[in-house]
Amino acid sequence: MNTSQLALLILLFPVAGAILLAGRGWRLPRIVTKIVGPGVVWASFVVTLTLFFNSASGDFTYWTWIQSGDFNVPFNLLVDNLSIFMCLVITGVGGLIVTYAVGYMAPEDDPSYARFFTYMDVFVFSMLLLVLAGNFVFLIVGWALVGLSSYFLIGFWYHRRSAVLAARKAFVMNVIGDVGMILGTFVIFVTYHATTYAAVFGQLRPRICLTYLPCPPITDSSSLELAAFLLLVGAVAKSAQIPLHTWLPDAMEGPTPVSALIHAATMVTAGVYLVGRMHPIYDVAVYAHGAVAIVGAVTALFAATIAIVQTDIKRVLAYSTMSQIGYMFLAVGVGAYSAGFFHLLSHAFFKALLFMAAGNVIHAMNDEQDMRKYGGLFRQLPRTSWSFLIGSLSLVGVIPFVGFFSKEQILGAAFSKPDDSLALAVWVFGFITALVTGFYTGRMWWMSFAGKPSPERPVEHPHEAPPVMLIPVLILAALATIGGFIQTRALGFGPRLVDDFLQTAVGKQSWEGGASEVIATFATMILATLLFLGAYRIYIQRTWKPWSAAVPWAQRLFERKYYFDELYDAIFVRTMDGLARGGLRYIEEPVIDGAVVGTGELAEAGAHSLSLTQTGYFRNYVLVFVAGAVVVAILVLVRVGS
Amino acid sequence: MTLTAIWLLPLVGGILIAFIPPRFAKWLGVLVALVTLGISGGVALAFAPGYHGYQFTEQVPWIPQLHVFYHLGVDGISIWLVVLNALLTVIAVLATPLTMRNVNRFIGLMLAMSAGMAGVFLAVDLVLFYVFWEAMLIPAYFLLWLFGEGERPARAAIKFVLFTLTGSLLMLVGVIGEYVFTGQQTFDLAKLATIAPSANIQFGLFFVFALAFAIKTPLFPFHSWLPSAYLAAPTPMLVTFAGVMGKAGAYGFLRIAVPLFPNPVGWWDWRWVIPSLAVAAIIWGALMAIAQRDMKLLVAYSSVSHMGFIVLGIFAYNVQGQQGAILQMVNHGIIIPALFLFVAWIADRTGTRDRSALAGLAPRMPVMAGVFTIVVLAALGLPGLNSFVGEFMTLLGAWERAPVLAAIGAVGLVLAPVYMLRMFQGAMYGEPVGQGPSGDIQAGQLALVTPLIVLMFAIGLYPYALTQLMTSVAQAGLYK
Repeated sequence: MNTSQLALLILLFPVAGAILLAGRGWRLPRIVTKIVGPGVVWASFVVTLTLFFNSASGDFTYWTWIQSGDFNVPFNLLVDNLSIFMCLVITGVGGLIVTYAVGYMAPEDDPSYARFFTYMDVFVFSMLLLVLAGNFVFLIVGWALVGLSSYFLIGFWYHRRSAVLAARKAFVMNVIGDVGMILGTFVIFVTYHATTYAAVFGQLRPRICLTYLPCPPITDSSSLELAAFLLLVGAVAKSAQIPLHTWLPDAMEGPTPVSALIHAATMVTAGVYLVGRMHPIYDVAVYAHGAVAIVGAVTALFAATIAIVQTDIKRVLAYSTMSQIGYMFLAVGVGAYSAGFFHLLSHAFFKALLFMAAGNVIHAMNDEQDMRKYGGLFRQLPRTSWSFLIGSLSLVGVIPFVGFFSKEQILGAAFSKPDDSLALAVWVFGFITALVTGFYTGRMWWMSFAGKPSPERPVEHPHEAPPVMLIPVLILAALATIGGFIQTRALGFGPRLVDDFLQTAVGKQSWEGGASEVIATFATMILATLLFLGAYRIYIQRTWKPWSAAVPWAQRLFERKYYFDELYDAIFVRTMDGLARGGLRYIEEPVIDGAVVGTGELAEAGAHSLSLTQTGYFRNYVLVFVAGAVVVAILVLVRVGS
Repeated sequence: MTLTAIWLLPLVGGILIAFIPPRFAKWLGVLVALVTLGISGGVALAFAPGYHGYQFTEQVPWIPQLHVFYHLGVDGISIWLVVLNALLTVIAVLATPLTMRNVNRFIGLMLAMSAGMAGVFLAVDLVLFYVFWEAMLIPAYFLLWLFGEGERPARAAIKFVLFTLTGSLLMLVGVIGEYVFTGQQTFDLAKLATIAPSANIQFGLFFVFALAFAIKTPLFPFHSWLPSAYLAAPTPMLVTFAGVMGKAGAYGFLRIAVPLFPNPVGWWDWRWVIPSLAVAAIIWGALMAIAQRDMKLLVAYSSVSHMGFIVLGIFAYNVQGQQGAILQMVNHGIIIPALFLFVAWIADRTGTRDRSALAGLAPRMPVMAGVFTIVVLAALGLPGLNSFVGEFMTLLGAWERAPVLAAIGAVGLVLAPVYMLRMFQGAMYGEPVGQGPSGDIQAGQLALVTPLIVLMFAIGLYPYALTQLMTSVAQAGLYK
């Protein structure tokens, strides 16, 4: 098979799985669902590996989707190192998570069980389409379809009102992002009369400066800025960055494997992919590019502070995800694209690990998610606890776990641009966030696993998860432990496999770690680790007073999530409902409809009072109205005709 | 004679069926509709893409003194609407319950209405267009009056007549005005498009035609007949009434108002007024849909919103916008009947159409829920399904002409999931309340919507199959 067929095959496996499970799944024996659900993801993984080892690349057109004047959109897939990289993450980590779900979803009845894997396979297909699409329109198609799968899976337990509302909120906020992408595509088309990446970026290429050549003047940067900002709306919505972030914490209503796959490892990182894929645009559109970094830096710190006060273990992880994606935005925003993608990979490892380990805990605790009701799980669930610890240390950024290398590379890249005040400013945000991360991670870890069991704990003697749920966790724990050694640039030496692999897609990265960066790196790590340990003193030993005693207002601010939900409810939801209801009651019914009915009634009344006729009102009703309109029309015609 | 058969066959068949015993009516009706669909499909298959002009033309002098011809033809604007009309007629007749009182009259009238609509899309002579336009309204009025449901169907029928008669008479004024003021003594649409009257005349004639079409479309603020008419209309009627006749107004804009009056500028510029009203319709229709609890009314108002996209695309005056508008007419014609059918089926099983009185139906009617999901997703413009293509193209066209209008119109894309999901989730999800539904979807009903579902996917994945036959006014310059 050639590359073009293989690329299509990557997409076709999950589609086939979804169709099979949707059509017949719950009538077939459950074992079919267990094999087909994860099996098709692994099949795509194998195909992706084939492409990876063959160093495949190319832009393949399959059919003309639409052609209208000069608006020509093919269905084409772009295979390059960036899309292969993303496909590896999606199918590799995704395969582990979907396999894990075979065990996690076991208590569901047969129709729901098959429905779950149908949605998961639809999601994997959509995400693969998103990263493989070779033009803006199919990017939007994949973009919207991942939002749809996310909607289905958040609302998977649809008898819960909270899940249904969370699903709708996620869908509508993502559609706002989709509209941003659609308008961005309009700008691109109007400017460049093309929709494929190849054609658009080909027209941009001469403007990308090479270091040894002077930059040619940019003539149309304002439309590029507009396009880049509109695309950023899509990225921000999908990746739950400020100000379109409020759906992600609510999305934790979905089953935990969904949180791991969609709301941690893959879909929410699509915004990072978008900026990376569109880097020829962002390299020129400097204001939009700066906005990416600012959004990322602010979200990173913002979400981390909220994570400090959450008590639901999945919500801590949700805010942590938002914060870590903020780091990725920060990275791609300062032009350190491959650092952003390395953190994407690293985060997929350790956050999927954390979510799945948390899922094991939640299962063992009879679906209790409140960390205050855990405590002392370390001895009872040793494998899960160790895995969770590895994930936590990786999140904090402790050497040698993968999170250390990826996060410190981002911070190093921002730190190493002293002449760029924006990079330095976002570095400060990133640095503080790293410290806050150490603290909230420590709080989560100690509260859940250390100390004595909480008196409110629902299960006295919990059981470790079955192998199908444990093995994927252990594999990810192993990856989180050793994965960092594929790129040790944060230390200033060693391999840089991710940078090298992505170089053809996102360009060569200029940062070379010097001594001062390495010092900053270790200072960050040590301070974050100390805060991780300090949380033990506050929450377990209780020898230190909680920080919130000193600043109660801050705790309240964090607990209410900076009042974003209340604000949006007041500004958008209520306004829209008010306009709709008020419009119906005060304009639609009395004015727009009333005018017509009123004319008819007036005619009727006139007819009666003039005693023109007493027979059935309908004729007059029509006659007077119509005659009036026709007279007006004739008058207009005569007036303009003369 | 091919095109004549497309309207004459259902008309003759309809008259015949109205007077045969009811128990044969449905199946004879299906036969007539299927043969018509076969002929229409054959025309589409034999249609030569890229040919600028009308194809399959038939021309016979009708009133020679006034240069009126019986002149039919199809081009890239009308071809798919003819096919859509034939397809939906089959589905509408199939959806008619045999238990309906006077079912033979109902099917007879439905076929007659279908004949009138086919004639509107086929006519190439302005007078003939007007005659068909009137002819399609008469059966629609009787259908509403005699077979309407709800509390006061007669009142809805009167309102409908009031509006449409006003529009028709305005159009008659316009038809006469066009003949008088162009001075070329012709009603041939292709010829008229090449001889635009003076700016002032254009301004006035555009006004009467545009008002007629704005009422029929309907365009904000002339839409108040639509909710009451759709509420009163029985569901099989809605399949073609909303699915096809709802497009006649937009078709009129595209076929007559835009090409015949390319520069309707006088006291103000109509080329900006109409798209502004279209954007208002998008937003207003969506807001009104959000405020509705009755699912049938909600779908009716969503139709107002969707028609706004079509008119916005037509008045983009470019290929993308106008082809998008034609595509969206077809898409909306596929989606809206499916929505009305599902609302009716849910109401049949639960006894209510109030979205807030329903909950938790999904586990008790899983297949219905699954298929309804696809229809709802198509209706809210999910990329990958058909409606996205049309909305994308109309907005793209509008963006090329006026980015601000397109950006405001795009707000409609955000509001669509709000009302659609409120309806869908309200009925399907949540804790089950009250008595369960009396059953899942029946095999026959599933078969009825299957062609529509297939088309939602097919057009979403390969819209080029349709657009490659399309010409737009902007592209053709209407056959100079």
